[in-house]
Order: sequence, then structure tokens, then C-alpha cells
Amino acid sequence: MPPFDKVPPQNKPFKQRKSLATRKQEVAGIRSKFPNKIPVIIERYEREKFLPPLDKTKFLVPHELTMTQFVTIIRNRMALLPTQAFYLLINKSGLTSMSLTMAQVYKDHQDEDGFLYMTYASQEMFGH
Amino acid sequence: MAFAGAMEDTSTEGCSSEQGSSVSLRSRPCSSERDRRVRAVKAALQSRLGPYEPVLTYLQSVLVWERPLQCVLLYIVVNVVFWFFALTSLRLLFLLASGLAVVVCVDTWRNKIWPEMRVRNLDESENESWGLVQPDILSVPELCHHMAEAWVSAAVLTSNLVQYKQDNHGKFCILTCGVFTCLAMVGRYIPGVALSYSAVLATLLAPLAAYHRVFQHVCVKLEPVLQRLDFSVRGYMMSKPIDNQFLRRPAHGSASGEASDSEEELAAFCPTFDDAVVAKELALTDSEHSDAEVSYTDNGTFNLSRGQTPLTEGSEDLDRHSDAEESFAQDLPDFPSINPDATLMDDDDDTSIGLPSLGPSGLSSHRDSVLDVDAHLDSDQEDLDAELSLSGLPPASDFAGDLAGVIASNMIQAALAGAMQPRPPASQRRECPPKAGAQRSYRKQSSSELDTDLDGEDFEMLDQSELNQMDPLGGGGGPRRGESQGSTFLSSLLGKPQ
Repeated sequence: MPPFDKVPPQNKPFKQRKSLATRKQEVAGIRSKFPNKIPVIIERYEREKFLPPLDKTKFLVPHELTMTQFVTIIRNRMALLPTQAFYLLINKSGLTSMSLTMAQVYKDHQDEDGFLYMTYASQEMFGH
Repeated sequence: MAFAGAMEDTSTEGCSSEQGSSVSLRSRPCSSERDRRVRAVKAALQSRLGPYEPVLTYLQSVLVWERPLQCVLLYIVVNVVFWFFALTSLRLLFLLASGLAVVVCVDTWRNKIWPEMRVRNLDESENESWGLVQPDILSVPELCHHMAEAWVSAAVLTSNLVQYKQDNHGKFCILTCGVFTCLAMVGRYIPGVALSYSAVLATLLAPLAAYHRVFQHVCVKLEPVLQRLDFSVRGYMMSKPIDNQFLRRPAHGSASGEASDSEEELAAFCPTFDDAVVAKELALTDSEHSDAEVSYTDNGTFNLSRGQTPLTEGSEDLDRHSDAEESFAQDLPDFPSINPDATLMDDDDDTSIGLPSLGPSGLSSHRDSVLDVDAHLDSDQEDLDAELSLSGLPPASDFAGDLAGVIASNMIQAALAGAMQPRPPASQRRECPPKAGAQRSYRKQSSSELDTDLDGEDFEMLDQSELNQMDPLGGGGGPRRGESQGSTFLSSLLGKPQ
């Protein structure tokens, strides 16, 4: 029963679930398999109350996709209504320009392990 | 399904507050029960299909020809399999039994052997699979959502059918028999192989059509054609303001429908006298006069001027060879100017725009333009003018003063009558265009019609009766519209020696 096994670890952030070496190895593996895709980790903000959880955490995204398209795809995936707010924060730091392509975002914001980390929330600001 | 229910329960237990809020946001108020079922089925499907997301994405991209080579391969494989089953000499029972055996083997392997092997690379399976993000291709959750929608719709339909069958047996029996008779007829006349092959092809091509939105494009392309085919009363009323469209279409060519519409509207307002248009206008009014149909709604100005042509004695003496610019310049003072002083000064002249005064100067200037236009017609038109002017209409000049008041109300009444009874003139006008393939032939036809119809005396009687009848009754909608008008006109028509 994989879904039951998965529920507890998904509550922890991806970075804490896996060691740096494992993540690096994973990125290397997937980059060799799909050279024209970017590995992206999308997680829900911990204190998010409105948006539903995503069914997946790891995504392979084409280079040429813009942030607008990407946000639209993620919204469709979560079956959000047009009235629901959805913000994608890069590296838990803030928003980027929606006209940038994924390749540009990846170049600027990629993590040391090679993943691009994003957090989604229904509000654009949150405090710790 | 039980598994799905369990999933639902755990997820609602796990994050009840969030789920509750999101449910309240996402649910449609009308069918919360249906929504709940859809979500349950979707969760079940998603848990099944989730691990196969890369495969499904790949399959979709192949089906929509994003990978042409693989797509061609897929088509070949499907065709080979289909024709193997269609042309094989193997018996049905053999195929069924061997297929079931294969299914059982695969099931055993997946459920018993694969978990054993899976233990070995548990660390690999522990990390969840990748979600492939690809624009224009449905992700697994969307796919699951659509499938769940379809599934729940089918379930609801089935339950409704069962309910219907229980409620009224007879109707259900008749309905079912009708449907199955239709299917039997189809199956009787079309070979099964053709049917099933077309079904396979449709299945293969449906994703491609959906991907390129073929249906929407076809709808957009078909819409103007369907609008053109709208012969209902409402459709005719919509085309009423550009009324002579049917008559003008042969000359303009039916291809440039919208362009010619705007052009005609402009031509109705601007006194730029295009030869062809003006000749056609006059030909139209002539033919309508010969048909004894007084319709002021159609190109009223020309009708008016034609009606008053007999008033001008010796109108041929006027310069008929001036060109269009000159006539335009002559008509310019008749237009109301923006300057209020000028309009006040021109106030007495203003009547000459719509309603000609009896004074020879204003009349001649007004007439001039019309006759310039006339000059572009062929020679028998001039003969007609001569006849008209020679025969003259003494009573017409008498009541031309009160004609000014009458005509204004006539216009409104005729427009109202035309709007109330759009059918008769429509059929009448629709007869015309096939006869007149081009505008020249149309003009010829109308002039010949006039020649045969109006032999001097006859025309005089016709026109006079028409005018007399116009005076008391207000001209209405022509003899064919009103009963009383029809009777008076009919009597005059019968009294007329043909």
C-alpha cells in the first residue's frame, strides 16, 4: 500500500528526507536520462490552509517552458478554481518574473544538489 | 472501490481542516453528491495510475503526433493487430482461452512475483516517481478527473435507465427496440470489419482531433454558412435593413458578402454616383414600378425622384452629359450644413432634399442630378423618360404640395408594413435575381419589361391610379399587401387594356 507509506514522509520537506549525496545522485541520474528537462521539487508551504496537496513532489520540466505556463499546469493539476490564489515561491525566498523561462530560473536559483526548489502557497508573503 | 473509500477516509482524517475548506471552495452547489463520487473515483484512479505517469505522458505525446516516428510505429502495430484478428482463421474460443491464460499469467506475475523482486530495489521504489510536466498534455490528475467524470456520468445514466425501466416498461421496450433496430440495420448493410476498423481509427485519431481542437475550428468555419442558411422570419428580419441584398448579390458576387453590405450602406448615404450602382438602382425602381409595387422602404430617394419625373417638362433639355463630380457638387447645397445659421438660411431649401418644391429652380437642380444619373442608362430609358414627361400628370402637379406631407407618413407606414409582412416581398424579390445574372442583363430585362408593359396609354393609367390610390390611403405597402388597396388596384388593372 504505497499511499499509506508515503503520507508520513511527505510531511517532512524533501531536503530533510534525503541526504545531500542521495539527492545529487538522483539529479545526476535523471539529468543523464532526460538532458532537456529540469528537475524541480514543488512542496506545499507548511502552514498552507487552503490549497490541496500535490500528488507528486518531483517534476521534470522542459527548459523552454515559461513560469506562466508552469503555474498554469500546476494549477490544472491541482484542479484549482480560477478564484483561488496560487503563488509559486522560488527557494522559499520570493516570486520571480512570470515571463522567465524555466532554464533562466534554474540557472539563477538552482540548489547545490542540482534541484530547483519551489514552494506554493495561497498567499505571497509568509513569516517564520 | 473499498480501497478508494479507505483512501478518502485517511486523507480526510489526515488533513480534515484543509480538505474541508478546499471542498467548500471547489464543490459545485448543485451536485455535491455527484462531486463527492467523482472525487472518490478520481482518488482511486490516481492511486492506480500515479506510478505510470511517465508512460501515460509518453503515450499521449505519441498519440498527438509529437513524436512522429513512434506514432507511425504505433499505427502500424495497431493495424497489424487489427488485421490479424480480422483475417485470422483461428477460432474464437481459441483466442478467448489463450487471451485469458495470458491475462492470468500477467496478473500472477504482477501480484506475486513482482513484489518479490521489488524487495530487492526497495530504496529505488521508496522515492516517489517523477511527474512529467509537458504543456498541452493532460497530466495524470487531469486525466483521472476526466475519466472519473465519465465514469460517474455513465453510472448515473445507467441507474437512471434502470429506474426508467422499472417505472414504465412499455416505453423502455419501445425505445430499446428502436435503438437496436437502427443498430441492426447498420450492421446488416455495413460489414463488421469496416465498422470495427473505423472504430479503431476513430479511437486513434480522437486524441489528435481533441489536441488540435478540430471540433471548435469546424464550428467556427461552419457558423457563417449556417447563418446564411437561416431562412426563418427572424433571419430575414435581421437582413431587412440591407434589403436589396438579394437583388444586388448577382452583380457583386456572393463571395464578398460582408464587404458589399457595408459598401451598399455607404452608397445609400453618399451621393457618389457609381454608374453600375445607380443604373441598378434605377432598374430596380423601374421594375418595381412595372410590378406596381410601391415600396418606399427600398431606396426611397430614387423612388421619389422617379415618381416625380413627369413633373419636369422638357427635362431632356437639361445637361445630361455632366459627370458624377458635377452632380455631386450640385447636390452639395441641398445637404444640411453643420453651421446653424446656414441651416436657418437654407431652411426653405431644405425641403428640396426629401420633398421637392414646385419652384423650377430648386426642382431643376434636384432633378438634374437624377437625370444625370439617368443619362447613364441606355437609350430606351430615355425613351421612357420622354414618354413620361410628354404624357405628364396634371393632377400630380396639383397635389404635389400635399404630397410632401403625405410622403413622409407614407415612408413610415410602408416601412412598418414591410416590417410586419416581410414574406411576400421576399419571395417576390427572390424570384428576380436568377433572372438577372448580371446587372446589364437585369437592366435589359427591366427595360424590356417596361417596353412590353407600358405602351404609352397603359402606363399613364397605371401610374395615375397608383398615385390616386396613394393619396387617400397613404400609399401603404403596395397593392399586394392591403386588401382594400388590392381591390382598387385590381379594378384599375382589370380596366386597363393589356
